Amino acid sequence: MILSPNVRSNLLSNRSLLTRRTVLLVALALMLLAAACGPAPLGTSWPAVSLIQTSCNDQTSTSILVAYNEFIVQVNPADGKGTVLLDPQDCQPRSDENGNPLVWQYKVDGAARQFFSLPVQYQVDGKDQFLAISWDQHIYEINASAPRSTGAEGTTIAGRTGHTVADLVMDDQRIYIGLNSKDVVALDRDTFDVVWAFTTEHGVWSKPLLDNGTLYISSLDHFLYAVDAASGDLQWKLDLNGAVTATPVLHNGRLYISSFARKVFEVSLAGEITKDYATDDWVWGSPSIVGDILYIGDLGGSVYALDTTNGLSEVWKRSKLAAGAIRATPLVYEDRVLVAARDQKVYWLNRDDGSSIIDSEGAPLVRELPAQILSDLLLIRPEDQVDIAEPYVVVTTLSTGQLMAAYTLDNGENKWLYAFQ
Amino acid sequence: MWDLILNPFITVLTLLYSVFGNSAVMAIVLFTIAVRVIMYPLSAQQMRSSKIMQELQPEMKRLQDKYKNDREKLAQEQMRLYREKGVNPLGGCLPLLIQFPIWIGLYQAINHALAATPLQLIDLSGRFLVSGLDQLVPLNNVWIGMDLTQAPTANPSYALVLPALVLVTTYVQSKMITPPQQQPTDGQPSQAQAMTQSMTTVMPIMMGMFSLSFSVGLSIYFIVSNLVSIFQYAWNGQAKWENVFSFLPKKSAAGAPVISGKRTLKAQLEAEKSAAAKVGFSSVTADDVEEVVESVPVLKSDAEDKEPPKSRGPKTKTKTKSAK
Repeated sequence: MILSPNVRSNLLSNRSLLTRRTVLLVALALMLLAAACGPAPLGTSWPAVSLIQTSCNDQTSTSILVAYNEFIVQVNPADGKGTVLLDPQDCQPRSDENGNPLVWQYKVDGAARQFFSLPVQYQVDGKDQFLAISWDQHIYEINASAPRSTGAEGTTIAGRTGHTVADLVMDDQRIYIGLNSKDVVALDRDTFDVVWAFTTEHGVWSKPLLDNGTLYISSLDHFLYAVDAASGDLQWKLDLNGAVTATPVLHNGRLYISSFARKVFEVSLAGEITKDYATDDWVWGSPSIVGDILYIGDLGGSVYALDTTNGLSEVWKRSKLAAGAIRATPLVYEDRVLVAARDQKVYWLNRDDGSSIIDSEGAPLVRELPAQILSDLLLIRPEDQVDIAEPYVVVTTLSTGQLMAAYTLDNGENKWLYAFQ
Repeated sequence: MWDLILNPFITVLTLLYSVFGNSAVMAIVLFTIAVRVIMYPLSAQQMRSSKIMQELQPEMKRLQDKYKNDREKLAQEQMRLYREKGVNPLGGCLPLLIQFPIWIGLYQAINHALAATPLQLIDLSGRFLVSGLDQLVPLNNVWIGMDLTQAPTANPSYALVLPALVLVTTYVQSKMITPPQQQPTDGQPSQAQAMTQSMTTVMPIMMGMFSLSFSVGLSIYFIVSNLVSIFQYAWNGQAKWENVFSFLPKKSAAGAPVISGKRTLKAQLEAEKSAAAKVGFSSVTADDVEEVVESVPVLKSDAEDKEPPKSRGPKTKTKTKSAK
């Protein structure tokens, strides 16, 4: 291209222009690096959700408990509004000085004080309490009727530093906590002193299964461990050939669990693999087992239905149903299976053959949300003492701006949206 | 689109990890070196371009002085000079721009492969281009007691050596590639010189501070990357080691103090005055020279100053006393 002298004079780089460009390039590089780096607790994991029931005198109410980032909140499953705080004396809604209702919300200060583990609910002298553990391994006792504590320090685990994302397990005497770097610790429920510590070779990112005095622990070190819950003594361990991030499911005297070896395993209570099924990709989540059929999704977006009474034989399979990873446990209700994926969609499938349920417009029934879905789906039914006419599915995303959405199970009608305030 | 760079990098990094005894550090070091070696032709082109531009600076300066009042003529002459020398003034930028996504990809690959959080581990799925690497996940991220996925501040205190090394190696690298700064004739550094000087000081400090927040694994990457760059410049004969130690006080070739005698200084100033007058630059008078000489208090006397240095301008007559 021939340039006129005037254009050339504008385009030519004299020393100052070259220097400016060099500076700009360096500044751009530093900005890119700065944008890509940092400890970033946000984006660490996904919200932990569950359905809970709390009581005030003789009144029982159902709420959705959500732990995510710096908040633990309760949400009314009927209308998607924050659960109102009740006065423990008269069970009337509490208000602030302006007469606005106070909603149930627990928050701690500090960038690393974030919650990705599901709190456990228990009672002390008939009063509801919650026990929560933060990302930086601080344990918080939360009074269900007065949760608006901020600035609380919490209790650290003696001799331990690091992070925790695994949900807690609690029995009458102890609290069991999987640690991100490695090991499971059992703490005294009253004093939080370490009762025993069980060593693993890598992190424990899933909730242990406690059954009949035995703690089943899945670890990233590829092993499934069976440990005596009282003493922490190893009973057996089983190599699953890949990282294990799922909580095992006990069904008909067998454990069902999956790993990054791209397999679903059936394991006896003596620690032996009795059956296995090969999946297309890593499997992260726990299966759902209804009517002896096991339903599970993999990180490649495929969904499987396996018959647990017939050697984990395949009932049906939907290859690459979703464009993103399926981490959440499939939700099974009556004749349908709901699957949520990282591609921000929830898919309605026929339970019999895995085909897509068709909506009133003749298209597959799919709902798309504004953010990735990695948390488990929640089933809300009228019989759960919720003021709704039909069952809902509650979907939780990574976005605090649209954290949860409720849809009817029948036709996917959106009933409410919830955003962090 | 970004996965086209990221996935192969993650695959190779994990392969190296498996080959070298499940050592994440060895994998990071070797992969960084390998990428820098592969990118060397681009780096070399950038160095060559930079060197030629530096060599042209005196001539460019002469043109700027000559045509300072005629920008169009200046632009034409600069273009002519570039054509004569076969230089593209932006030739050093393009290799740099091509290398940037590679470096960022390497940085991201290390982040992804070490996978310290659930979201990072989920991100890792589906990225291996070679089968059989699943069993290596998660990578062993502990090295001499340090968690490679955590920042130095979240590790034992000796991990703080790494940000210090990032700072030092970045400083050495930036200093050794900085072109020599011409002495300003008016005693004040130019804007470009000031900017370059601040960048070579500020950037290492910034990188050192950033690395306090980076994971230890990334600090290792930056240190290795800087060392490779230093080696490449030295190998290419373009390492300006004198810049690295420019903060130390200078000595003359014979080791004697710089301060000279009045006669020496006066002769030097006279020579510079003549040279400046030749290009029509300044109008320094003889009185100005005398004033400068007399204002310096620590000069040797004329009697002590027996060997004036070589002058750059026309020869001046100097009186010498003969011994009796």
